[in-house]
Amino acid sequence: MFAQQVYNGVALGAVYALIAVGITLVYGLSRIIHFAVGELVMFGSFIAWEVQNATGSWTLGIIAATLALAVAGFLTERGVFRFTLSAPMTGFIVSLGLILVFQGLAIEIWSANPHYAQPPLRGAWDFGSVVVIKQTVLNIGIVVAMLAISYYILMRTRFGKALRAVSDDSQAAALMGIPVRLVIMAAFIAGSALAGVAGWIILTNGSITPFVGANYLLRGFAVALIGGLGNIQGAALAGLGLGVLESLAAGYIAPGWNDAYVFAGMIAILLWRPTGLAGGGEGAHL
Amino acid sequence: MTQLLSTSKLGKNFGGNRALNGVDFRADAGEIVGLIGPNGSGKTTFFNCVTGFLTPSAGRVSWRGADVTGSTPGKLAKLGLVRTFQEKMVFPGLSVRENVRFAIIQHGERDLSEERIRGALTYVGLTTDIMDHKAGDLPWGQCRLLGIALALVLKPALILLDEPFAGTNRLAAHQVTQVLFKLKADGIGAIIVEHEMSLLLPACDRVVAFASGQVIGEGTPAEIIHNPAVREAYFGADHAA
Amino acid sequence: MNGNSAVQRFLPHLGVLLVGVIIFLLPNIGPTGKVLSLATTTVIFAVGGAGLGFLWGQAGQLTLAHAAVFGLGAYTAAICGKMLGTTFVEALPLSILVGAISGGLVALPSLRTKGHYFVILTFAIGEVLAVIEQRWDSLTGGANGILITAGRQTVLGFTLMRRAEYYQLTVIFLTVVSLLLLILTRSRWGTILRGMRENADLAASLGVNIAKQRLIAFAIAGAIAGLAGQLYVYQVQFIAPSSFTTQTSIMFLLVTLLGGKAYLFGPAVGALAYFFLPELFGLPPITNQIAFGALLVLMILLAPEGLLSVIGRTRRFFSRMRTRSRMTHELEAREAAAEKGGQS
Repeated sequence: MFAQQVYNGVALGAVYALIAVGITLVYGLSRIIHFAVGELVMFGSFIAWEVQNATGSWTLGIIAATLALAVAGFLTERGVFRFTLSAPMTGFIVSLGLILVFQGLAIEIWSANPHYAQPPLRGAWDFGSVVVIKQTVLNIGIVVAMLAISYYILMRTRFGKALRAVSDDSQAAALMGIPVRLVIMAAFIAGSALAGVAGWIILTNGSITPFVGANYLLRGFAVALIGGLGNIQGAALAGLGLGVLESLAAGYIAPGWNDAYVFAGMIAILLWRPTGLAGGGEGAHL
Repeated sequence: MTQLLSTSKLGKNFGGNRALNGVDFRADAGEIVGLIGPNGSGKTTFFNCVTGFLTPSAGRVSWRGADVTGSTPGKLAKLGLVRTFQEKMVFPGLSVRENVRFAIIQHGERDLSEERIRGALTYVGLTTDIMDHKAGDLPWGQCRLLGIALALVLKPALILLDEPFAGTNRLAAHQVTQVLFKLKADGIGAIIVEHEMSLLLPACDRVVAFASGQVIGEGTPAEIIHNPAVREAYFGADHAA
Repeated sequence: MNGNSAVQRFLPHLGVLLVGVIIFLLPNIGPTGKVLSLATTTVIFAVGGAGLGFLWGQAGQLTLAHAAVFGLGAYTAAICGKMLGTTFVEALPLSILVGAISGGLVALPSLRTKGHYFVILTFAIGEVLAVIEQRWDSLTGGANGILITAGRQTVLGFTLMRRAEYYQLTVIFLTVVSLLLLILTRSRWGTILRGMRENADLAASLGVNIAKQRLIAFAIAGAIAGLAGQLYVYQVQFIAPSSFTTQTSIMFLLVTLLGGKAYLFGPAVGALAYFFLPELFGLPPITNQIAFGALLVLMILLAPEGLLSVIGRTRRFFSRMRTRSRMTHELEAREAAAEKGGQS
């Protein structure tokens, strides 16, 4: 039972980590708390669902979700967020407005009813104490790959260097000739694309509704905050931690109160270490 | 002279970085003390530790002989120790009138009349026709003077001025100097952090020089200018040859 | 001249009074039941919004737990009515107290965290409260909620169960709350709050105990939200956790922002727009949600000080135009005179 809950927690936490890295990227560069990210994840799920239904291909589904969300990231940055860069709190309120818009649109397009899908991999491996659903292995693999790519780009490429420079001190970066606005736009695109991938993974759990966003939004933020805003490794670790704790709490205490544990835990941790466990903070660095 | 403020072995670490290291300092009633030192020498950290905006990692801060280490800025203000700020000097979105009203209310005065507010402004040499301007719209120099006026409304025994000359034009700098002389005449002590030595030194009774989080020299302005350790730390780059 | 300016100063107050009387007498012009209940809802959310407007506009503190505190006030009234059989009047101090305490609790993290972290924390606190409302079945009725009825109760002579009279009662509450906030805003403490909003460090250095003052401001906003919660539950006579979600918090934000957070009647104007515009345009609820989301985005980008600021700006614009045209006239007249002088 224990090992099973831990494994389930890892599978759960992987998605949180993915969303949190997107949040962290956007925050690290623009200082904007992008609260509509949950709705982006939800949109990713529905686009994957549409494409998968039309073509019968999961691969196309994940690609479509990622690309569509990258476009959404581009459009929201160009359309609204770029006007709020000087006042991040305004950007935050803009994202609250976008929550209403995105969720409303999803209900208009796909109705409020749940949509179902079969995961691409079926069945499970039974290891005695742990039953491993095959799909979760694929999902964890995808998340690890995405995190590794993000980390590589950030730490080993010229582009990543520019990104980190902007995150450290955007004025200094601008003086050094780094195209700051472009880098910020790239962060919005990348962050949203990661939300698209997360959306696809959520679809493989079986069903989606236009209301799944809030759930992932809050967990994504809990993870990003606990890991320390702007800190990718912190987000990955905190994501796993949250997933495992949540799964254990659901297994051993009472599942219905999950949200309460998660948020009470987050509140407690932030009161104890106001800039997250792994550091980072108000002026967080990537 | 009665000793107002003193610190002993004051230290402050940021992570592994020692911003302040065993600072012994004192300021007496009515004395104007200059605090000089190159960038990153710990002057501002010292200011923040003394005024309660940072908690020191080591040592103690005393006010009139009583230990006030770790007291909140609000409590220190009530005891008569008030500071100004280098950048965020005023309440930018409020009118000049309401800025001064704020300070008067904080000082616990009943009288919020126009005369009282005008008095506070004219003390620092501000004209009263700016009363209805938003403080944030004032030129930098007037902002500074307003910031000093706010602190002085509280009738402090000691005022800590954080780079009062920074960004001021010649007229405003002259006005700041005038305020310093007025403080002296009224027996109010001041500690002034400043880069602009030529403006600072004439107004000071005593100067304390900081480098790498430590006090490296102390004396009258004339002594400090000729102190070799200070010359090396402060003018090092220019006077190396 | 003097008399003229006295009249000018007096006129706006008279205007507000007149509008107040008209609002109060709305039932007498025979509105439909739907309009009347919509008007009641508007007034109740104007009360709740006034709390947020005070906190946000005056003290500069944004909270996303306002809906949750509003919900706690509502639950307090409902649970007390259901389990203890309290009347409206008996429950009122309790709802207000619970609102004030929970509002203060929301503020506690602000003593340790700042800016974005704090806003997200208020959101998380709101979510925890929502889960408790949903899961503590024995107390809150869980997802099924609680049904209450006011029976034949009257307050100040108004029968709660009569729609028109309940509406008028809520208008009275709005008036009282507005007056209180007006006094607070104009008071010495109001200056202190605005100073903290503008520059907390400077306020602290001038002797303000930031934590304490912030706590009081949050408690006041919470008390008002608690009151609004009770008004709400006696209007709809039913309460369930679904009424106090993130959406409700965003709605309070929108209502406050729409009218203008710095204005006493900003949230009231915002609530009016929020509840009556959809009726006017006859939009279905989901289209509405999209429209309001877009409106929130547009407002914060284009007119962050709200609709009332737009009116103010237009008026200033016209008065500037008038001054300019008067100046031009004077200039022309002077030039003409000079010309004449030159000729003679």
